[in-house]
Amino acid sequence: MPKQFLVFASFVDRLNDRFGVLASWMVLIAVLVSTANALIRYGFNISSNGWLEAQWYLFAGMVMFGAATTFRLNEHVRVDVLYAMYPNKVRLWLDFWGGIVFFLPVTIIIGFYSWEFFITSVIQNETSSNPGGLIRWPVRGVITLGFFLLTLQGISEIIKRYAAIIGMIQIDPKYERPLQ
Amino acid sequence: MISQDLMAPIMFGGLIVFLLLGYPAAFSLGAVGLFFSFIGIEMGMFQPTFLQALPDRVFGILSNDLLLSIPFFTFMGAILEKCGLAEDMLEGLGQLFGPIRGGLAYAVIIVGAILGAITGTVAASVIAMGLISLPIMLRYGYNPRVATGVIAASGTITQLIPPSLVLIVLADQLGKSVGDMYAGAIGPSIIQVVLFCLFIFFLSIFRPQDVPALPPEARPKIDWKLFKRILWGIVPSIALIFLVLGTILMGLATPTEGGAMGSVGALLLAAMNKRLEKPLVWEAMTSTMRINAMVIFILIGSTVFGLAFRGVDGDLWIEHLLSGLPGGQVGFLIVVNLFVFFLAFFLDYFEIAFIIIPLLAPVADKLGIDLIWFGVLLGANMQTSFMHPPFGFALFYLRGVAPKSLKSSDIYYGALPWVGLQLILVAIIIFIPETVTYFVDKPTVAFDASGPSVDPLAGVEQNEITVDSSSDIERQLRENK
Repeated sequence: MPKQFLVFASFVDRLNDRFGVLASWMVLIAVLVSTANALIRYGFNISSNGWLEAQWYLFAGMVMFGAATTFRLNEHVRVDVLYAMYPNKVRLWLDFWGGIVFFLPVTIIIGFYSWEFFITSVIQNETSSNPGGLIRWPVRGVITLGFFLLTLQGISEIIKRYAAIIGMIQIDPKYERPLQ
Repeated sequence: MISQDLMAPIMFGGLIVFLLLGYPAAFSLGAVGLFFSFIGIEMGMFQPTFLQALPDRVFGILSNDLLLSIPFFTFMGAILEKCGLAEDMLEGLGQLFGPIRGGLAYAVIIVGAILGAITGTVAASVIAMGLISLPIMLRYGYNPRVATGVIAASGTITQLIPPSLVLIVLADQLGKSVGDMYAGAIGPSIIQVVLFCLFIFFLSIFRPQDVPALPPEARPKIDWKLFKRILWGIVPSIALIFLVLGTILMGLATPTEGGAMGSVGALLLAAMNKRLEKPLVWEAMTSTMRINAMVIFILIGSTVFGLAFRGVDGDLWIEHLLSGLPGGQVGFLIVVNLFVFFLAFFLDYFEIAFIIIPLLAPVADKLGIDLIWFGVLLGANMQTSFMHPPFGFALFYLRGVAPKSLKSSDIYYGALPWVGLQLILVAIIIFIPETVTYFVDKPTVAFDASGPSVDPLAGVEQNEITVDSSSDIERQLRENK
């Protein structure tokens, strides 16, 4: 396998980690925006649909931008009854084929249809039906971009697994269930 | 060619097989859904336009205000957890109860319940108690099986006691208000704590050597200073949690608002304790982000699966299977609980909640079962998934922090009586529904979980996914057939 593949993989990793940082900040920002919305509603009995919608725009951002880096860190939960017993080689192969057969079809197909949605939304200049609401296409764009980033991450993981299988790099396929 | 009647059972079997392979569940679920929708389209069971519904569903999930409370409560818990709260409480209460037989165990149960309400993660409670209480219990002669069992079990109280994430997820899946769900869970949480304490009490009578009191030389002086330490450690965070839960239960705040304000409150508490530092906040932010992405992606995967499963008439298949059971409501509940108990050996509660609940809820509703009762009952049942040896999550964490000299088999055997106690709890809830409904039936202020009342249209978007079975897409699916 040419080395360029691994260069691409590590580029994707760094890119998605950046988006992960962005997603983490969105958590804190969403907390502050929501608190402000609530307090203003109690205090002055007014509320702005725009700001209320900003809450879930941020939610969409933290999910869609965070999913790829979460995947890189192997923190999407697995059913590990059998997985825990596999030798490392089997885990690498599982992730390799799983990436091709499970992961990419899902992210590519949903991503493709989200793209259509996004384009329609841009053309129609779709806005919220709530008075004072936000325009809709940015959040649809976030969803599309999120699936695109996930697809890239999926390719990166497949490359890395393959490289590890043929011995170009070392990967420790250890898996710990995410904290719950 | 496969008969159309067989599609649903095959698809369900395929799901189990694919999940067991061990690939991340969110994507396996999505892949099974897509795979079977292609077959379904080939067989003419539904229209190709079906796939175009997917982004709409994803959009529906992400625009759901209620789900936003998941990262908020996670964040609040992560901040409070790292404030050193657990340590202060465990040491303080341990010293207070130490002199009586079984005292350390009572302290663990009470701290488990309090931490459960505050932090909401099983792992956090189990790790804290495993690190602090376990060595003390072992040093003063507790039976290792009792010591590990009580810690693991008390850690799982988190799952049932409000504001547990499980209850939010269940409320969302059942289309009920989170406030009612929280109210319904109060009774069972109390019963659980009482059951656990009773068990220790009986042990202290019949097997006193298993749960000895602290020897006199290890007893601290019980004085005002000790009380002050306990109070200072506990009271502010309990006050915060009551404030948050109270406003939600009374209908003053939506769960999302409550979670957001609770998070800010947690930051203030951390600042008061002089523990508000950049690494702490950053770690809370990133871990919240990752847990949230993981959970929501399971929901997205399950939605893809669920849509295709209904397309192949899976919902009718399940309904057919379950509605013919003898024994009416009770028969249905017993079978469902056995089924969930069995699934909990393999699956996490998120997977169970997202995959199974939407299939069961309509049947339960038709049988006239109160969905709040049903949800709390399943919540209590799913707690056991943390306790089954050898895969139980709580046991796994306890193993991680327990001294190496402690045998894994002790941890496994230690868990068994507590699984039994949790099953007793499930039975109590089945046969005495009032344990749940007593706290719900009281007329609360009319409460709309979908968002602040000034914004009536926000609710519309949410209904798209909460009232799943009646949405447009499925109706089209049926008509197209």
